Amino acid sequence: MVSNLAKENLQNWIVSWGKRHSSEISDFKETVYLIKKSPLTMVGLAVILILIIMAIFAPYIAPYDPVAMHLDNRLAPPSKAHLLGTDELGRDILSRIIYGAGVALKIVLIVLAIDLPLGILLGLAAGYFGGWIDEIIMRIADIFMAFPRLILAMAIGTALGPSLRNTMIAIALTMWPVYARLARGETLSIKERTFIEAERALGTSNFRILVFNILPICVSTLIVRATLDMGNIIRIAAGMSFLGLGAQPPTPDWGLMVSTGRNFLINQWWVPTFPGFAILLAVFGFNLLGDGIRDISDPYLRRGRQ
Amino acid sequence: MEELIQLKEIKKYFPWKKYKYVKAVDGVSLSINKRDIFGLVGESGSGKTTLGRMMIHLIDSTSGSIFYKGKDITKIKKLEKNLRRNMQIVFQDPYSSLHPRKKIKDIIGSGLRTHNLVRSEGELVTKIEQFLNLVGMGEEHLYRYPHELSGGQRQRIAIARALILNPEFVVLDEPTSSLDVSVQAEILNLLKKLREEFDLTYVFITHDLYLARIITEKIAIMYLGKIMEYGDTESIFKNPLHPYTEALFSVIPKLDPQKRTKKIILKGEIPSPFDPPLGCRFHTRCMKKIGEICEKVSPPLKEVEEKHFVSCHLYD
Amino acid sequence: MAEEILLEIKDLRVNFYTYRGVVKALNGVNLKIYEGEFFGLVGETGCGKSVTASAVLNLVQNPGKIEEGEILFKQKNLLKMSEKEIREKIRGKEITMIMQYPIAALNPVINNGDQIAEALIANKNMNESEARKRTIELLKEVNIPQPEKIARQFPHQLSGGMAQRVMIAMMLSTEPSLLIADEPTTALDVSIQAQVLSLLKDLISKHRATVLLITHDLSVVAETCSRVGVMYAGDMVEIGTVDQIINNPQHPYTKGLIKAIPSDRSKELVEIRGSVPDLVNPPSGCRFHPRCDYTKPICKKEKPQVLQVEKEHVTACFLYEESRNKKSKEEYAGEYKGGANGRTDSA
Ligand SMILES: Nc1ncnc2c1ncn2[C@@H]1O[C@H](COP(=O)(O)OP(=O)(O)OP(=O)(O)O)[C@@H](O)[C@H]1O
Ligand SMILES: Nc1ncnc2c1ncn2[C@@H]1O[C@H](COP(=O)(O)OP(=O)(O)OP(=O)(O)O)[C@@H](O)[C@H]1O
Ligand SMILES: [Mg+2]
Ligand SMILES: [Mg+2]
Repeated sequence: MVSNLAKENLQNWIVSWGKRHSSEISDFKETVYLIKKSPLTMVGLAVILILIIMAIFAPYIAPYDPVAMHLDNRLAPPSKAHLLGTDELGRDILSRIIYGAGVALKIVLIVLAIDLPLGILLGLAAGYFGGWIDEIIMRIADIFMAFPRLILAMAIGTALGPSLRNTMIAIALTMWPVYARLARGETLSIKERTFIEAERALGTSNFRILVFNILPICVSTLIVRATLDMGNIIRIAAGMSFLGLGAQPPTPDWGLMVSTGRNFLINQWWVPTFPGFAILLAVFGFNLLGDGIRDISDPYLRRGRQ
Repeated sequence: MEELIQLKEIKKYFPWKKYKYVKAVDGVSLSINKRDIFGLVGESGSGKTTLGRMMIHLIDSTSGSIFYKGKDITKIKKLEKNLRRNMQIVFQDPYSSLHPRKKIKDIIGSGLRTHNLVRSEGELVTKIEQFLNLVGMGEEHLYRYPHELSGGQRQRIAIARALILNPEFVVLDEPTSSLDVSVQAEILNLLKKLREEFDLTYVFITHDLYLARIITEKIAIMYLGKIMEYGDTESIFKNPLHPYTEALFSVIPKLDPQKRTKKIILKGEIPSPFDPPLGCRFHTRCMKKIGEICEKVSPPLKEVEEKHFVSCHLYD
Repeated sequence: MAEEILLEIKDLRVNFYTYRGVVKALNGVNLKIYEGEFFGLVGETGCGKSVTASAVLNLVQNPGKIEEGEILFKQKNLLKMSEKEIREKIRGKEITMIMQYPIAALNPVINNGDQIAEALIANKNMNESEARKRTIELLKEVNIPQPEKIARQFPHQLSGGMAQRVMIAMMLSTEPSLLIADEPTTALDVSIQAQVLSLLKDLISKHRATVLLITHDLSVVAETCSRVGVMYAGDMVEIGTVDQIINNPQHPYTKGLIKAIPSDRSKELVEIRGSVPDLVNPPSGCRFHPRCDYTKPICKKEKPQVLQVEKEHVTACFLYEESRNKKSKEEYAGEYKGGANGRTDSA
């Protein structure tokens, strides 16, 4: 009896939820349709999904412990037991690559988790209030943007000392101006749009205009941009690890693996090559997905709706 | 015939680069009575929108005064809530005046929330549904986004958004100029009906003289930030006195061939509002220019017939 | 009116394949344009005016496809020509197009004079100095004051009216047989619109070109054109001379449209109830039937045929068919049975 009532309530709730969100549902369906129509985006999506699965389920997928050394089996070529061979300490390369996916994704997520909110906050403030707030924020951003990104990240990384955490901080510090600038530009242009003036005519406060009207548009623009940057972040992080500024042994980091493996390139090619491939594939996947998302979120492509 | 709003020598100069100004509105005086539909007619750049935005205190004026029910609102920095609620606007382009990522419910409901006009979410929804019905739309649109609606439907949403606050005075800034004629007729009839129902005063901005004739009772013809002619709509239609009004009438495309008069094709373009012509603003394109006086002296607005004002040296 | 047919569109059907489904944008459009005339195509947003124009140049945009029909230009079917042939012989040469927003259509980094000169060099095999001289002449012809100065300026420095005139000069430079003007004055003020339209009219009669003027404003067509086609939701509902359409409209949609236009005729605007249908699921039969005041059962079932009203005047409406049959019945009471044979099918 009671459970029947609860069931009915739940059903009603689901129906009314569906009604209220029918626009989002059809929007989502259209997005899926557009992704399906773009084979490159599908490829990108597949690569990223594999990456995510590897990161989450590494302990179940990986055949060996990524840090366990077997000095008796050093530099073994690819074989049935070790599909991608072993490195100079006898560790299974495949297992290290699988675990490495988690490291790479962690870097991407943490960098963006710092930079997106920071960029939005600073950009929104600069764009909406203008004046000296804008001046200060944008001048600081300009200083950061004056240097090539990799070089700046390396300099900060060196100053902070080599570690994975410091790599993430260094990359985050070099990327925020991009988001702050973008958010500021968006804010400046949205601020002048008629629908914001319409809110003013209703008497809506500055705070509500900022949070409920400008922020949502800024966030979606920045997310599109962020997906385009994910490949870059992996690339820079790999570069820093390669130079010894990033992850430290025995972390299964792809950049680090290429770095230590480069001495064996001639005779034991598999040691640096497979991690290199992993980097290449991940960057490639993120770039394809980013491009796809950018195209799909383009209102012109969705014009058929009207 | 109670006066609702009165403008005295109102000006708006937008700063442009250094030491330069766009003289968007340059000394306009007029008064609008309660329950009037007052037309502002003029070509692009004549300052209609700027004037309308000043009337409802969306932008500050450079100089002059605006008396709303006897109170000078140009002296106020931030309008008190009640006044803000009483003065509303419907914009020209319904494609840009609705937030693209907000649902209809939140678009219409925003004002209600700001002014605490409803106590609960349920009341909000009921009230919005009531106004959706009023503008001829169903509840099913409550959770839609603007891009799912046609132009006419969007304009109805914009009208509902303005009227749900129960205002007294509404500026309609070319509310139908981006819509098709059959939709235009619908929206205009709706606006007329709503005026009866809510006792509204409208300022109707348009560039279409025929439209002004159908909907307004009084009109002011603007050119480059100044009023050229001002009076009862019918009397201006029967007897346009200003050469600009006359030319404007002659060039509106007409359906019936027999109604066509000889077109007065004005030469050149509207001069730049940075440095508008001295004297009469219209003298550079005027076909009835009488002489030097037009180039030197700005003609005052003069009552030539009863309640029919003209700013032209022909009637000195 | 010259009776030579310049362009004939037969049963043109265009679909757009979108996420929401197939947009049936043109539903068998028939149209004839005579040499030397000023033909107006009117209708509301989304009725297919621009698609018709782009089909003529075989430029229907991507999810769109010309499903069937013929487009005969000087007796040759443009749809059968190769892309190369159209590009080399037709587009920008025999048929040119003026757009609503000329500034967007002009190249922003080339000055106004060079835009026209380049068109002349490419299409008329002129050398550079000849082309420059002709450019100034053309700019003078479209009443541009100080043509030498304007020629050195860039498109974004022009006002809307000026840019539209530069565009017209450019289009005329190739001496096309058919000029398609898609809403050429919609973005302009009435006084500037009057300038541009009168200029267009003068030039056309001088250059003996034919014009297809596309607009949503029936008054503009009434003032400038000799014949009009009225479109509704992908159908051509009525074609006739301006006088026939304005003073003796037969199709209920045309009648409604005329009553909805603010004019001297009345102080009331009469709306057409309902709204424009979604072309993914267009109404069955006559596409106007859900909004029509005179709908009969047959209107929902069959697409009405095109019927001759008078010389030059055709309409596609069952109401007209019925009233005409009634009339003919009265006329030949007793002798004549039914109206099935009274139908003159004609485009
Ligand atoms: N915020 C602004 N900053 C600078 N100049 C402005 C601003 N708003 C308007 N103007 C200028 O003021 C003049 C009058 O503009 P306004 O929008 O009032 O004209 P309008 O009569 O409404 O024209 P339209 O028919 O095009 O809407 C124009 O020259 C315009 O460029
Ligand atoms: N690229 C496209 N993708 C999907 N549908 C399209 C596309 N182009 C046109 N359509 C559809 O074709 C129909 C006709 O469009 P068209 O542009 O010809 O209208 P129009 O009569 O020119 O209208 P307007 O007055 O707005 O210019 C519309 O329903 C439109 O939605
Ligand atoms: Mg305006
Ligand atoms: Mg079009």
